[in-house]
Amino acid sequence: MKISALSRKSSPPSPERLPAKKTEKRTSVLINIVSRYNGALFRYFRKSTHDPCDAEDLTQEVYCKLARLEDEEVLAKTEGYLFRIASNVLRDKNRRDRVRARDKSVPYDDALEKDPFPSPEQIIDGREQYGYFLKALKDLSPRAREVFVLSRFEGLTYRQIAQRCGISVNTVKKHMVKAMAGLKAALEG
Amino acid sequence: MMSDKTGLQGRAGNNADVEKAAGNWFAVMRSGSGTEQEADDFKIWYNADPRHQKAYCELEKVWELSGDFAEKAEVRVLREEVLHKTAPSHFISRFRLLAFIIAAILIAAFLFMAL
Repeated sequence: MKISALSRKSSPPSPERLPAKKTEKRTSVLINIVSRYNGALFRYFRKSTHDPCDAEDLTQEVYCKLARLEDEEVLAKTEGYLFRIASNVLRDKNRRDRVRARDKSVPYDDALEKDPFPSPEQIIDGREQYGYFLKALKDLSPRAREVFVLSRFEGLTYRQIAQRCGISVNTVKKHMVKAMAGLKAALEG
Repeated sequence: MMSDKTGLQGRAGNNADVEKAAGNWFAVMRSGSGTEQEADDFKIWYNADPRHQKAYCELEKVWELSGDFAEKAEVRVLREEVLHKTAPSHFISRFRLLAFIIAAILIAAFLFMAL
């Protein structure tokens, strides 16, 4: 899921251009690597970042990098370099974090990573999704909308949101669950 | 955090259970104050079933996508509205202090009369 979402950003070689058999083999090699190293990669990042969420994101990033490799033979050889890729991913993350800490006016590193030249299809797709997203956001209950906006866009912790809205941390969490479910349904539908 | 009520443990279950557990886990992991225990429990849940991973990743995708819209005009307006509406207000805190004093006086008066 996330692999396709991220690799879309930097336009990898499209799988349609590769012969079907090759793509299939490539996918199975990839799945093999993922299933074998998922735990080890997660632990590696978990130890370095102290944040399971970050660790999860970084693990996914390694797979994205792997998924971009065209050839299954290159992919198979890459297995040995897996942790070098992992350490590069970690270094990039630390660099991003430093940039973010230095320039607090840029709240999202997503903004820095955005593809500067999206294709027309991506633009149309994005506009459509934005419409669904906006409608879903407005359809949420006022409280769920507040909680989501403060968490996602203002980067507040649940504790901070709870204080601001005068509700309990547990209630913040419940509204977050509802908000995410509402947005997900709208974006998938 | 770990109770069946929240659906966090649901290992074998139907898709609705998996979705529910993923939603709960996602909210727990984004709290900004997760514990080591939660992280470990999450990892166990996440690795227990490919359906868990799929459901969780779908939420991550929604999260990522919404981040792309952070600076859009309509979203900016909404953000300002929410910030303004939930801003810690001096008026409110003064009002609360006043309400507290009145309540204290009433309780004191009630106790005095009861005696």
